[in-house]
Amino acid sequence: MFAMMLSDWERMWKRKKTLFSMLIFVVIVGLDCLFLSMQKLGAFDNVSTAPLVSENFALFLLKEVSFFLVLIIGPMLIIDSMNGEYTSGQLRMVLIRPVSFAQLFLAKWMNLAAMLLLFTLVTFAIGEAFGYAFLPGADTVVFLNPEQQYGPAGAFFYCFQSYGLFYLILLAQLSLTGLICTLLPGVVLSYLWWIATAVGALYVSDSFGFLLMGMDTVFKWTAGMYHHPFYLPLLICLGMGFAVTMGIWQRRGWTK
Amino acid sequence: MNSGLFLSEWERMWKRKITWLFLFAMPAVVAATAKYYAGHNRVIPPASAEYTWAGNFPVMALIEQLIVVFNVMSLILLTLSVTEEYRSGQIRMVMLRSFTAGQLLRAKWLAHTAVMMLYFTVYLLLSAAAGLLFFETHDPMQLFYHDHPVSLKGMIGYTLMYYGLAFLTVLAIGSVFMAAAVISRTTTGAVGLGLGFLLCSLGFPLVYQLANRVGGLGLPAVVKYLSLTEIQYSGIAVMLGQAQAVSSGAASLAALLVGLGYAVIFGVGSLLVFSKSDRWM
Repeated sequence: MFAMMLSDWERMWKRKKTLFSMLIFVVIVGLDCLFLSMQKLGAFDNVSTAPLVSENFALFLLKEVSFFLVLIIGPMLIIDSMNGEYTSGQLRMVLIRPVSFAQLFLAKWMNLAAMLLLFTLVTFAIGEAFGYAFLPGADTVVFLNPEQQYGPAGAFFYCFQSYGLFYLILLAQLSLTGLICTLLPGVVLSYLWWIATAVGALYVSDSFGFLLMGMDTVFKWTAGMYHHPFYLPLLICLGMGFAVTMGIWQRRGWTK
Repeated sequence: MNSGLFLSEWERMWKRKITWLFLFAMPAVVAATAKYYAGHNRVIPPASAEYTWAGNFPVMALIEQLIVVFNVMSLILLTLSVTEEYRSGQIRMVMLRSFTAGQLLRAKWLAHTAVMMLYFTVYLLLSAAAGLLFFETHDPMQLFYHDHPVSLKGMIGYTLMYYGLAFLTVLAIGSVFMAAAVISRTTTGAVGLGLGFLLCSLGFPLVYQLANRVGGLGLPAVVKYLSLTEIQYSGIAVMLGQAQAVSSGAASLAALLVGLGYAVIFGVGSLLVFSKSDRWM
Protein backbone atom coordinates (compact mmCIF):
# COMPACT_ATOMS: atom_id res chain seq x y z
CA MET A 1 0.00 0.00 0.00
CA PHE A 2 2.75 2.40 0.96
CA ALA A 3 4.72 1.57 -2.18
CA MET A 4 1.64 2.30 -4.28
CA MET A 5 1.12 5.63 -2.57
CA LEU A 6 4.76 6.46 -3.13
CA SER A 7 4.62 5.61 -6.83
CA ASP A 8 1.45 7.68 -7.26
CA TRP A 9 3.00 10.54 -5.31
CA GLU A 10 6.04 10.47 -7.57
CA ARG A 11 3.86 10.43 -10.67
CA MET A 12 1.98 13.41 -9.31
CA TRP A 13 5.16 15.43 -8.92
CA LYS A 14 6.43 14.31 -12.28
CA ARG A 15 3.68 16.36 -13.85
CA LYS A 16 5.23 19.80 -14.09
CA LYS A 17 1.84 21.29 -13.31
CA THR A 18 2.06 20.25 -9.68
CA LEU A 19 5.26 22.12 -8.93
CA PHE A 20 4.18 24.97 -11.17
CA SER A 21 0.82 25.27 -9.35
CA MET A 22 2.64 25.26 -6.04
CA LEU A 23 4.96 28.08 -7.12
CA ILE A 24 2.16 30.13 -8.66
CA PHE A 25 0.07 29.53 -5.57
CA VAL A 26 2.80 30.84 -3.26
CA VAL A 27 3.12 33.93 -5.47
CA ILE A 28 -0.65 34.46 -5.35
CA VAL A 29 -0.69 34.04 -1.58
CA GLY A 30 2.13 36.57 -1.31
CA LEU A 31 0.33 39.08 -3.53
CA ASP A 32 -2.85 38.57 -1.56
CA CYS A 33 -0.92 39.29 1.64
CA LEU A 34 0.21 42.62 0.20
CA PHE A 35 -3.29 43.35 -1.08
CA LEU A 36 -4.90 42.60 2.29
CA SER A 37 -2.36 44.54 4.32
CA MET A 38 -3.00 47.56 2.08
CA GLN A 39 -6.71 47.22 2.67
CA LYS A 40 -6.44 47.32 6.50
CA LEU A 41 -9.94 45.82 6.69
CA GLY A 42 -11.03 42.23 6.32
CA ALA A 43 -14.47 41.61 4.85
CA PHE A 44 -16.57 38.63 5.98
CA ASP A 45 -19.23 39.47 3.41
CA ASN A 46 -20.63 42.59 1.76
CA VAL A 47 -21.68 44.05 5.11
CA SER A 48 -19.53 42.87 7.99
CA THR A 49 -15.89 43.82 8.20
CA ALA A 50 -13.23 43.69 10.90
CA PRO A 51 -9.95 45.60 11.23
CA LEU A 52 -7.05 43.40 10.18
CA VAL A 53 -4.65 42.47 12.96
CA SER A 54 -2.00 39.77 13.38
CA GLU A 55 -4.47 37.43 15.02
CA ASN A 56 -7.15 37.29 12.31
CA PHE A 57 -5.01 37.85 9.21
CA ALA A 58 -4.66 34.18 8.25
CA LEU A 59 -8.43 33.74 8.17
CA PHE A 60 -9.00 36.55 5.68
CA LEU A 61 -6.06 35.38 3.61
CA LEU A 62 -7.75 32.00 3.20
CA LYS A 63 -10.88 33.70 1.98
CA GLU A 64 -8.93 35.54 -0.71
CA VAL A 65 -7.12 32.47 -2.03
CA SER A 66 -9.91 29.93 -1.52
CA PHE A 67 -11.29 30.43 -5.02
CA PHE A 68 -7.94 29.55 -6.57
CA LEU A 69 -7.93 26.32 -4.59
CA VAL A 70 -11.55 25.40 -5.24
CA LEU A 71 -11.83 26.40 -8.90
CA ILE A 72 -8.36 26.05 -10.38
CA ILE A 73 -5.63 24.24 -8.48
CA GLY A 74 -7.78 21.65 -6.68
CA PRO A 75 -9.67 20.43 -9.75
CA MET A 76 -6.52 20.49 -11.88
CA LEU A 77 -4.64 18.19 -9.52
CA ILE A 78 -7.59 15.90 -8.88
CA ILE A 79 -8.66 15.56 -12.51
CA ASP A 80 -5.13 14.94 -13.76
CA SER A 81 -4.69 12.16 -11.25
CA MET A 82 -8.13 10.55 -11.38
CA ASN A 83 -9.14 11.10 -14.99
CA GLY A 84 -6.07 12.18 -16.96
CA GLU A 85 -4.02 9.10 -16.10
CA TYR A 86 -6.92 6.82 -17.00
CA THR A 87 -7.96 8.47 -20.27
CA SER A 88 -4.40 8.86 -21.52
CA GLY A 89 -3.66 5.21 -20.83
CA GLN A 90 -0.87 6.01 -18.37
CA LEU A 91 -2.57 3.97 -15.68
CA ARG A 92 -2.08 0.76 -17.66
CA MET A 93 1.59 0.91 -16.80
CA VAL A 94 0.67 0.75 -13.15
CA LEU A 95 -1.91 -1.96 -13.67
CA ILE A 96 0.56 -4.29 -15.38
CA ARG A 97 1.44 -5.28 -11.85
CA PRO A 98 -1.15 -7.22 -9.85
CA VAL A 99 -2.41 -4.39 -7.69
CA SER A 100 -5.81 -4.14 -6.11
CA PHE A 101 -8.11 -1.47 -7.47
CA ALA A 102 -9.39 -0.63 -4.04
CA GLN A 103 -5.85 0.07 -2.90
CA LEU A 104 -5.06 2.04 -6.04
CA PHE A 105 -8.04 4.32 -5.57
CA LEU A 106 -7.34 4.65 -1.86
CA ALA A 107 -3.73 5.56 -2.61
CA LYS A 108 -4.80 8.23 -5.08
CA TRP A 109 -7.40 9.62 -2.71
CA MET A 110 -4.99 9.81 0.19
CA ASN A 111 -2.24 11.35 -1.90
CA LEU A 112 -4.56 14.02 -3.20
CA ALA A 113 -5.81 14.65 0.32
CA ALA A 114 -2.20 15.07 1.42
CA MET A 115 -1.53 17.42 -1.49
CA LEU A 116 -4.56 19.57 -0.67
CA LEU A 117 -3.45 19.58 2.96
CA LEU A 118 -0.06 20.81 1.83
CA PHE A 119 -1.62 23.74 -0.04
CA THR A 120 -3.86 24.58 2.93
CA LEU A 121 -0.95 24.42 5.38
CA VAL A 122 1.22 26.62 3.15
CA THR A 123 -1.52 29.23 3.22
CA PHE A 124 -1.86 28.91 6.98
CA ALA A 125 1.89 29.19 7.58
CA ILE A 126 2.34 32.20 5.30
CA GLY A 127 -0.78 33.86 6.73
CA GLU A 128 0.29 33.47 10.36
CA ALA A 129 3.89 34.45 9.64
CA PHE A 130 2.94 37.53 7.62
CA GLY A 131 0.28 38.50 10.14
CA TYR A 132 2.59 38.44 13.13
CA ALA A 133 5.50 39.98 11.24
CA PHE A 134 3.83 42.93 9.54
CA LEU A 135 0.49 43.69 11.16
CA PRO A 136 -0.31 45.38 14.46
CA GLY A 137 -1.33 43.03 17.27
CA ALA A 138 -4.47 43.38 19.35
CA ASP A 139 -5.42 42.16 22.82
CA THR A 140 -8.83 40.91 21.78
CA VAL A 141 -10.26 40.06 18.40
CA VAL A 142 -13.83 39.61 17.26
CA PHE A 143 -14.85 37.58 14.25
CA LEU A 144 -18.19 37.52 12.45
CA ASN A 145 -20.11 37.33 15.72
CA PRO A 146 -19.35 40.67 17.43
CA GLU A 147 -20.31 39.40 20.88
CA GLN A 148 -17.62 36.74 21.13
CA GLN A 149 -14.17 38.10 21.90
CA TYR A 150 -11.00 36.07 21.61
CA GLY A 151 -7.54 36.51 23.07
CA PRO A 152 -4.42 35.78 20.96
CA ALA A 153 -4.47 32.05 21.74
CA GLY A 154 -8.22 31.80 21.21
CA ALA A 155 -7.94 33.62 17.91
CA PHE A 156 -5.15 31.28 16.78
CA PHE A 157 -7.33 28.27 17.47
CA TYR A 158 -10.29 29.96 15.82
CA CYS A 159 -8.24 30.40 12.64
CA PHE A 160 -6.91 26.88 12.94
CA GLN A 161 -10.43 25.50 13.28
CA SER A 162 -11.58 27.50 10.25
CA TYR A 163 -8.71 26.11 8.20
CA GLY A 164 -9.68 22.63 9.35
CA LEU A 165 -13.28 23.12 8.28
CA PHE A 166 -12.18 24.50 4.93
CA TYR A 167 -9.95 21.46 4.50
CA LEU A 168 -12.98 19.23 5.16
CA ILE A 169 -14.78 21.08 2.38
CA LEU A 170 -11.80 20.44 0.09
CA LEU A 171 -12.02 16.73 0.97
CA ALA A 172 -15.72 16.71 0.05
CA GLN A 173 -14.72 18.36 -3.21
CA LEU A 174 -12.06 15.69 -3.71
CA SER A 175 -14.60 12.88 -3.32
CA LEU A 176 -17.15 14.54 -5.59
CA THR A 177 -14.62 15.41 -8.27
CA GLY A 178 -13.30 11.87 -8.06
CA LEU A 179 -16.78 10.60 -8.82
CA ILE A 180 -17.20 13.05 -11.70
CA CYS A 181 -13.81 12.01 -13.09
CA THR A 182 -14.84 8.40 -12.98
CA LEU A 183 -18.16 8.91 -14.73
CA LEU A 184 -17.00 11.20 -17.53
CA PRO A 185 -14.76 10.23 -20.43
CA GLY A 186 -12.53 13.27 -20.67
CA VAL A 187 -10.48 15.78 -18.75
CA VAL A 188 -12.21 18.88 -20.07
CA LEU A 189 -15.67 17.44 -19.51
CA SER A 190 -14.76 16.57 -15.92
CA TYR A 191 -13.49 20.08 -15.30
CA LEU A 192 -16.60 21.65 -16.77
CA TRP A 193 -18.82 19.28 -14.85
CA TRP A 194 -17.12 20.06 -11.54
CA ILE A 195 -17.72 23.77 -12.04
CA ALA A 196 -21.31 23.12 -13.08
CA THR A 197 -21.77 20.97 -9.96
CA ALA A 198 -20.34 23.61 -7.63
CA VAL A 199 -22.44 26.38 -9.17
CA GLY A 200 -25.53 24.21 -9.68
CA ALA A 201 -25.45 23.06 -6.05
CA LEU A 202 -26.28 26.65 -5.06
CA TYR A 203 -29.52 26.38 -7.01
CA VAL A 204 -30.37 22.95 -5.60
CA SER A 205 -30.19 23.74 -1.91
CA ASP A 206 -28.43 26.30 0.29
CA SER A 207 -27.09 23.38 2.33
CA PHE A 208 -24.78 22.53 -0.57
CA GLY A 209 -23.60 26.11 -0.98
CA PHE A 210 -20.36 25.23 0.80
CA LEU A 211 -19.01 23.63 -2.38
CA LEU A 212 -18.59 26.99 -4.07
CA MET A 213 -18.83 29.46 -1.19
CA GLY A 214 -16.67 27.48 1.22
CA MET A 215 -15.25 30.35 3.23
CA ASP A 216 -18.60 32.07 3.50
CA THR A 217 -19.96 28.92 5.11
CA VAL A 218 -16.96 28.57 7.40
CA PHE A 219 -17.23 32.19 8.57
CA LYS A 220 -20.87 31.74 9.48
CA TRP A 221 -20.53 28.29 10.98
CA THR A 222 -17.65 29.20 13.31
CA ALA A 223 -19.60 32.25 14.47
CA GLY A 224 -22.67 30.12 15.14
CA MET A 225 -24.64 31.98 12.48
CA TYR A 226 -25.03 29.22 9.91
CA HIS A 227 -28.65 28.16 9.68
CA HIS A 228 -28.30 25.05 7.54
CA PRO A 229 -26.96 21.63 8.43
CA PHE A 230 -23.21 21.66 7.78
CA TYR A 231 -21.64 18.32 8.68
CA LEU A 232 -24.44 16.17 7.26
CA PRO A 233 -24.35 17.40 3.61
CA LEU A 234 -20.57 17.62 3.80
CA LEU A 235 -20.20 14.07 5.01
CA ILE A 236 -22.74 12.89 2.45
CA CYS A 237 -20.65 14.40 -0.35
CA LEU A 238 -17.45 13.05 1.17
CA GLY A 239 -18.68 9.56 2.01
CA MET A 240 -21.02 8.90 -0.89
CA GLY A 241 -18.56 10.27 -3.42
CA PHE A 242 -15.84 8.06 -2.00
CA ALA A 243 -17.94 4.90 -1.73
CA VAL A 244 -19.59 5.16 -5.14
CA THR A 245 -16.30 5.93 -6.88
CA MET A 246 -14.64 3.01 -5.15
CA GLY A 247 -17.49 0.74 -6.29
CA ILE A 248 -17.20 1.88 -9.91
CA TRP A 249 -13.43 1.55 -9.98
CA GLN A 250 -13.66 -2.05 -8.89
CA ARG A 251 -16.12 -2.91 -11.63
CA ARG A 252 -14.23 -1.29 -14.48
CA GLY A 253 -12.51 -3.13 -17.28
CA TRP A 254 -9.27 -1.32 -16.72
CA THR A 255 -6.76 -2.91 -18.93
CA LYS A 256 -8.75 -2.76 -22.15
CA MET B 1 -8.43 31.59 -46.21
CA ASN B 2 -9.39 28.25 -47.45
CA SER B 3 -13.10 27.55 -47.10
CA GLY B 4 -12.59 23.79 -47.20
CA LEU B 5 -10.39 23.98 -44.13
CA PHE B 6 -12.91 26.15 -42.34
CA LEU B 7 -15.68 23.70 -43.16
CA SER B 8 -13.67 20.79 -41.82
CA GLU B 9 -13.02 22.68 -38.58
CA TRP B 10 -16.69 23.65 -38.36
CA GLU B 11 -17.72 20.03 -38.76
CA ARG B 12 -15.19 18.94 -36.15
CA MET B 13 -16.68 21.48 -33.76
CA TRP B 14 -20.10 19.91 -34.15
CA LYS B 15 -18.77 16.40 -34.00
CA ARG B 16 -18.06 17.00 -30.32
CA LYS B 17 -20.97 16.31 -28.03
CA ILE B 18 -20.03 19.21 -25.80
CA THR B 19 -20.80 21.75 -28.52
CA TRP B 20 -24.30 20.33 -28.76
CA LEU B 21 -24.53 20.14 -24.98
CA PHE B 22 -23.91 23.90 -24.73
CA LEU B 23 -26.56 24.53 -27.35
CA PHE B 24 -29.14 22.34 -25.65
CA ALA B 25 -28.31 23.82 -22.24
CA MET B 26 -29.25 27.31 -23.45
CA PRO B 27 -33.00 27.02 -22.71
CA ALA B 28 -32.16 25.81 -19.20
CA VAL B 29 -29.77 28.73 -18.65
CA VAL B 30 -32.36 31.21 -19.90
CA ALA B 31 -35.04 29.62 -17.70
CA ALA B 32 -32.80 29.72 -14.61
CA THR B 33 -31.97 33.37 -15.33
CA ALA B 34 -35.65 34.24 -15.76
CA LYS B 35 -36.42 32.53 -12.44
CA TYR B 36 -33.67 34.51 -10.76
CA TYR B 37 -34.89 37.87 -12.12
CA ALA B 38 -38.51 37.10 -11.29
CA GLY B 39 -37.43 36.66 -7.67
CA HIS B 40 -35.22 39.75 -7.87
CA ASN B 41 -38.16 41.84 -9.14
CA ARG B 42 -40.00 41.26 -5.88
CA VAL B 43 -37.39 43.09 -3.80
CA ILE B 44 -36.69 46.18 -5.95
CA PRO B 45 -38.92 49.10 -6.99
CA PRO B 46 -40.27 49.02 -10.58
CA ALA B 47 -38.68 52.42 -11.30
CA SER B 48 -35.18 50.99 -10.83
CA ALA B 49 -32.98 50.18 -13.82
CA GLU B 50 -32.51 46.72 -12.30
CA TYR B 51 -36.21 45.92 -12.59
CA THR B 52 -36.74 43.39 -15.35
CA TRP B 53 -39.42 43.81 -18.01
CA ALA B 54 -40.07 41.86 -21.17
CA GLY B 55 -38.21 44.56 -23.08
CA ASN B 56 -34.95 44.56 -21.18
CA PHE B 57 -34.84 40.88 -20.24
CA PRO B 58 -32.53 39.89 -23.15
CA VAL B 59 -29.95 42.44 -21.97
CA MET B 60 -30.39 41.59 -18.29
CA ALA B 61 -30.09 37.87 -19.06
CA LEU B 62 -26.84 38.50 -20.92
CA ILE B 63 -25.43 40.64 -18.09
CA GLU B 64 -26.06 37.78 -15.66
CA GLN B 65 -24.49 35.02 -17.74
CA LEU B 66 -21.88 36.74 -19.95
CA ILE B 67 -18.89 36.59 -17.61
CA VAL B 68 -19.23 32.99 -16.50
CA VAL B 69 -21.22 31.07 -19.10
CA PHE B 70 -20.09 32.64 -22.37
CA ASN B 71 -16.43 33.00 -21.40
CA VAL B 72 -16.24 29.43 -20.16
CA MET B 73 -17.93 28.13 -23.32
CA SER B 74 -15.32 29.92 -25.40
CA LEU B 75 -12.53 28.52 -23.22
CA ILE B 76 -13.81 24.95 -23.51
CA LEU B 77 -14.34 25.14 -27.28
CA LEU B 78 -10.84 26.47 -27.89
CA THR B 79 -9.20 24.01 -25.51
CA LEU B 80 -10.93 21.08 -27.19
CA SER B 81 -10.14 22.42 -30.62
CA VAL B 82 -6.41 22.94 -30.05
CA THR B 83 -5.01 21.25 -26.92
CA GLU B 84 -7.26 18.20 -26.89
CA GLU B 85 -6.65 17.53 -30.59
CA TYR B 86 -2.92 17.80 -29.94
CA ARG B 87 -3.15 15.44 -26.97
CA SER B 88 -5.15 12.84 -28.84
CA GLY B 89 -3.07 13.17 -31.98
CA GLN B 90 -6.11 14.09 -34.06
CA ILE B 91 -4.51 17.33 -35.20
CA ARG B 92 -1.99 15.32 -37.25
CA MET B 93 -4.73 14.17 -39.60
CA VAL B 94 -5.35 17.75 -40.73
CA MET B 95 -1.67 18.60 -40.83
CA LEU B 96 -1.07 15.77 -43.31
CA ARG B 97 -2.85 17.95 -45.84
CA SER B 98 -1.07 20.77 -47.59
CA PHE B 99 -2.10 23.58 -45.29
CA THR B 100 0.22 25.74 -43.26
CA ALA B 101 -0.05 25.75 -39.48
CA GLY B 102 -1.12 29.40 -39.64
CA GLN B 103 -4.02 28.58 -41.95
CA LEU B 104 -5.09 25.79 -39.64
CA LEU B 105 -5.07 27.98 -36.53
CA ARG B 106 -7.00 30.72 -38.33
CA ALA B 107 -9.59 28.18 -39.48
CA LYS B 108 -9.93 26.94 -35.90
CA TRP B 109 -10.37 30.50 -34.69
CA LEU B 110 -12.99 31.24 -37.34
CA ALA B 111 -14.91 28.07 -36.52
CA HIS B 112 -14.88 29.04 -32.84
CA THR B 113 -16.08 32.54 -33.77
CA ALA B 114 -18.89 31.12 -35.86
CA VAL B 115 -20.03 28.77 -33.10
CA MET B 116 -19.94 31.57 -30.52
CA MET B 117 -21.92 33.82 -32.86
CA LEU B 118 -24.51 31.07 -33.20
CA TYR B 119 -24.68 30.73 -29.40
CA PHE B 120 -25.18 34.47 -28.99
CA THR B 121 -27.95 34.47 -31.62
CA VAL B 122 -29.74 31.51 -30.05
CA TYR B 123 -29.41 33.06 -26.60
CA LEU B 124 -30.83 36.36 -27.87
CA LEU B 125 -33.82 34.67 -29.51
CA LEU B 126 -34.51 32.43 -26.52
CA SER B 127 -34.26 35.25 -24.02
CA ALA B 128 -36.46 37.51 -26.15
CA ALA B 129 -39.10 34.76 -26.15
CA ALA B 130 -38.66 34.08 -22.43
CA GLY B 131 -38.96 37.81 -21.73
CA LEU B 132 -42.32 38.00 -23.47
CA LEU B 133 -43.42 34.82 -21.78
CA PHE B 134 -42.43 35.48 -18.17
CA PHE B 135 -42.32 39.27 -17.74
CA GLU B 136 -44.73 42.16 -18.17
CA THR B 137 -44.36 44.67 -20.94
CA HIS B 138 -43.66 48.23 -19.96
CA ASP B 139 -42.99 51.25 -22.16
CA PRO B 140 -40.73 53.18 -21.72
CA MET B 141 -38.23 51.58 -19.35
CA GLN B 142 -35.27 52.73 -17.32
CA LEU B 143 -31.80 51.51 -18.29
CA PHE B 144 -28.39 51.60 -16.61
CA TYR B 145 -26.48 54.87 -17.14
CA HIS B 146 -29.42 56.55 -18.87
CA ASP B 147 -30.84 59.90 -17.74
CA HIS B 148 -34.10 59.31 -19.60
CA PRO B 149 -36.20 56.16 -20.01
CA VAL B 150 -35.94 54.39 -23.36
CA SER B 151 -38.90 53.36 -25.53
CA LEU B 152 -39.49 49.79 -26.68
CA LYS B 153 -38.37 50.71 -30.21
CA GLY B 154 -35.11 52.10 -28.87
CA MET B 155 -34.63 48.87 -26.94
CA ILE B 156 -34.22 46.85 -30.15
CA GLY B 157 -31.19 48.84 -31.22
CA TYR B 158 -29.82 48.89 -27.66
CA THR B 159 -30.17 45.13 -27.31
CA LEU B 160 -28.50 44.43 -30.64
CA MET B 161 -25.65 46.82 -29.82
CA TYR B 162 -25.24 45.22 -26.39
CA TYR B 163 -25.08 41.72 -27.84
CA GLY B 164 -22.68 42.85 -30.55
CA LEU B 165 -20.28 44.46 -28.08
CA ALA B 166 -20.54 41.50 -25.71
CA PHE B 167 -19.66 39.21 -28.61
CA LEU B 168 -16.57 41.30 -29.37
CA THR B 169 -15.42 41.17 -25.74
CA VAL B 170 -15.78 37.38 -25.77
CA LEU B 171 -13.62 37.29 -28.91
CA ALA B 172 -10.98 39.42 -27.17
CA ILE B 173 -10.95 37.10 -24.16
CA GLY B 174 -11.04 34.18 -26.57
CA SER B 175 -7.72 35.30 -28.04
CA VAL B 176 -6.19 34.91 -24.55
CA PHE B 177 -7.77 31.46 -24.23
CA MET B 178 -6.38 30.59 -27.65
CA ALA B 179 -2.90 31.51 -26.46
CA ALA B 180 -3.43 29.41 -23.32
CA ALA B 181 -4.59 26.46 -25.45
CA VAL B 182 -1.61 26.77 -27.80
CA ILE B 183 1.08 26.92 -25.12
CA SER B 184 -0.43 24.27 -22.82
CA ARG B 185 0.59 20.67 -23.25
CA THR B 186 -2.36 19.26 -21.30
CA THR B 187 -6.03 20.14 -21.38
CA THR B 188 -6.25 20.67 -17.62
CA GLY B 189 -3.37 23.08 -17.97
CA ALA B 190 -5.18 25.04 -20.69
CA VAL B 191 -8.44 25.21 -18.73
CA GLY B 192 -6.59 26.12 -15.54
CA LEU B 193 -4.66 28.90 -17.25
CA GLY B 194 -7.83 30.26 -18.82
CA LEU B 195 -9.79 30.21 -15.58
CA GLY B 196 -6.83 31.76 -13.79
CA PHE B 197 -6.82 34.59 -16.30
CA LEU B 198 -10.56 35.06 -15.73
CA LEU B 199 -10.12 35.17 -11.93
CA CYS B 200 -7.23 37.63 -12.20
CA SER B 201 -9.25 39.82 -14.56
CA LEU B 202 -12.11 39.80 -12.08
CA GLY B 203 -9.74 40.69 -9.25
CA PHE B 204 -7.81 43.45 -11.00
CA PRO B 205 -10.45 46.25 -10.77
CA LEU B 206 -10.84 45.60 -7.03
CA VAL B 207 -7.09 45.74 -6.43
CA TYR B 208 -6.70 48.78 -8.68
CA GLN B 209 -9.46 50.77 -7.05
CA LEU B 210 -8.19 49.87 -3.60
CA ALA B 211 -4.59 50.81 -4.43
CA ASN B 212 -5.85 54.05 -5.91
CA ARG B 213 -7.84 54.90 -2.81
CA VAL B 214 -5.38 53.80 -0.15
CA GLY B 215 -2.28 55.00 -1.95
CA GLY B 216 -3.96 58.27 -2.95
CA LEU B 217 -2.53 57.88 -6.44
CA GLY B 218 -5.37 59.74 -8.12
CA LEU B 219 -5.15 57.68 -11.30
CA PRO B 220 -8.14 57.85 -13.65
CA ALA B 221 -10.95 55.35 -13.00
CA VAL B 222 -10.96 54.31 -16.64
CA VAL B 223 -7.77 52.26 -16.09
CA LYS B 224 -9.91 49.55 -14.49
CA TYR B 225 -11.05 48.70 -18.03
CA LEU B 226 -7.65 47.10 -18.59
CA SER B 227 -9.54 44.07 -17.32
CA LEU B 228 -11.71 42.53 -20.02
CA THR B 229 -14.19 41.13 -17.52
CA GLU B 230 -14.67 44.63 -16.12
CA ILE B 231 -15.52 45.78 -19.65
CA GLN B 232 -18.07 42.97 -19.73
CA TYR B 233 -19.35 43.72 -16.24
CA SER B 234 -19.90 47.47 -16.48
CA GLY B 235 -18.02 48.74 -19.54
CA ILE B 236 -20.58 47.79 -22.18
CA ALA B 237 -23.40 49.49 -20.30
CA VAL B 238 -21.24 52.61 -19.84
CA MET B 239 -20.29 52.62 -23.52
CA LEU B 240 -23.96 52.53 -24.52
CA GLY B 241 -24.97 54.92 -21.74
CA GLN B 242 -26.60 58.27 -22.37
CA ALA B 243 -26.13 60.22 -19.18
CA GLN B 244 -24.41 63.43 -18.17
CA ALA B 245 -22.54 61.75 -15.34
CA VAL B 246 -20.73 59.09 -17.37
CA SER B 247 -18.23 59.68 -20.13
CA SER B 248 -19.26 57.05 -22.66
CA GLY B 249 -16.80 58.31 -25.28
CA ALA B 250 -13.75 57.82 -23.07
CA ALA B 251 -14.96 54.42 -21.95
CA SER B 252 -15.60 53.32 -25.53
CA LEU B 253 -12.15 54.43 -26.62
CA ALA B 254 -10.50 52.70 -23.66
CA ALA B 255 -12.48 49.49 -24.21
CA LEU B 256 -11.69 49.51 -27.92
CA LEU B 257 -7.96 49.98 -27.34
CA VAL B 258 -7.83 47.39 -24.58
CA GLY B 259 -9.83 44.82 -26.56
CA LEU B 260 -7.71 45.37 -29.66
CA GLY B 261 -4.55 45.21 -27.55
CA TYR B 262 -5.45 41.83 -26.09
CA ALA B 263 -6.58 40.51 -29.47
CA VAL B 264 -3.40 41.62 -31.25
CA ILE B 265 -0.92 40.53 -28.55
CA PHE B 266 -2.47 37.16 -27.77
CA GLY B 267 -3.91 36.46 -31.21
CA VAL B 268 -0.70 37.18 -33.10
CA GLY B 269 1.30 35.60 -30.29
CA SER B 270 -0.57 32.32 -30.50
CA LEU B 271 -0.33 32.36 -34.30
CA LEU B 272 3.45 32.76 -34.06
CA VAL B 273 3.88 30.13 -31.37
CA PHE B 274 1.60 27.71 -33.21
CA SER B 275 3.42 28.03 -36.51
CA LYS B 276 6.91 27.96 -34.99
CA SER B 277 6.49 24.94 -32.70
CA ASP B 278 7.11 21.55 -34.22
CA ARG B 279 5.46 19.45 -31.55
CA TRP B 280 2.11 19.13 -33.32
CA MET B 281 3.04 16.26 -35.64
